[in-house]
Amino acid sequence: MDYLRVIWTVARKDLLIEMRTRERVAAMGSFVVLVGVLFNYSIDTAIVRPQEMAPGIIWMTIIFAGLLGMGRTFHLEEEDGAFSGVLQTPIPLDALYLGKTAANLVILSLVTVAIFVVFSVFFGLSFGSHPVVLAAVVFLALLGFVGLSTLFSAMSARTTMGESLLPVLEFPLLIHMVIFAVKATSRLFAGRPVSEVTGSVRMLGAFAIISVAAGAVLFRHVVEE
Amino acid sequence: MAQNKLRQTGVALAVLGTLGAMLVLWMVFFWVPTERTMGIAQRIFYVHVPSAWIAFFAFGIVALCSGVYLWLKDERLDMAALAAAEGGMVFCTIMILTGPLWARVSWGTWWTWEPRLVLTLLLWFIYFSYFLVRNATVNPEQGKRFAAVVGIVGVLDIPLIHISVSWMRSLHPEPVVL
Repeated sequence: MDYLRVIWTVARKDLLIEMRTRERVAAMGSFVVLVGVLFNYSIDTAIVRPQEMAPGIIWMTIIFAGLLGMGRTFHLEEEDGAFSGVLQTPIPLDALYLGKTAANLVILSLVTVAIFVVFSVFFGLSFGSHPVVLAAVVFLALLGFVGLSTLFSAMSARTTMGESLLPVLEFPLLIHMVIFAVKATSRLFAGRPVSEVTGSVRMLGAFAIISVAAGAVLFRHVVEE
Repeated sequence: MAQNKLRQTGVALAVLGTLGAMLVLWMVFFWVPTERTMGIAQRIFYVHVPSAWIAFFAFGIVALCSGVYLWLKDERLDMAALAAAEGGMVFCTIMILTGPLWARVSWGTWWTWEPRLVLTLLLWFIYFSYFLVRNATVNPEQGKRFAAVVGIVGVLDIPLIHISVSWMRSLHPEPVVL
């Protein structure tokens, strides 16, 4: 139970800071709306129905917004060397990683809901008739994404390239999430039966488990000094 | 004494390798009969496919040595991982360059967005990020650890390349050997 308490403490701290500063949510939220506007002008609606392109656009927006926000995961603690103080505490480093991942997941989930709402308003989208399955697809994809992002943002914070390293590190590994998330989302938006997305849900689940497990095991090697 | 023996072994392997490569090139261009449907372009198979095997196998070595390096902190393991990454990246580059040459003749296009090609291109970028991260730190020891982490996480890409061929419809030839 102490282990879970540590995860909760770390996540709560990050979420409290975010609630008070609104630094990441403000940037990600603005990004979502403005990207929606830009996408409207990048699609010729006389030729292409937004409903058909929506899954791909939504997931690319999630990824770019996520990179924007997740890159700042360790930014606050890196300032003034505060992270050394965090490392001095007797908490397991994998619990620290899971706490950070949990906080990032909450923040990115909120931004994802905003993406779905904004794009639904802008493009008149319909989300199909299986909202629970859609939520499961989104949750698992986000979990895998955030698992990798938290690990790699800890790494990029300690390099000379900083956040510009994140896309190069992450994008090759995110392709699996994108393929199955977009495939499942497209099928659900098109009103296809749930049986057509169960395979994608399993692959997203496997990706999420692998990402978080690998992150938890490897995090100590990234942060140790 | 040991250094000298190591150097001699290295030279012997390089000479044997060069002779072997020359023999294989002669076989590819002169000994092997011309394939009936694809003609002489099919001979790229003998460069492209082994390059693919080596690129993937090398990355497996990178991941294995990286994992054990993080565990045992033995510098020799990091050196082995780096050597494998360098070789693997060369062969991955050869694979990505020869693939489109063959594709242009057999499929009529330089590139298609089918999963195996895409994921192979991404394997190249994983190799690239291995070197990028290794050289982007102020502390070289930290760079080695970061590169090892990238190597371990990146190896997840390799089995998914194989899985993606069966999960999604693909015009890439189905696995013949592996």
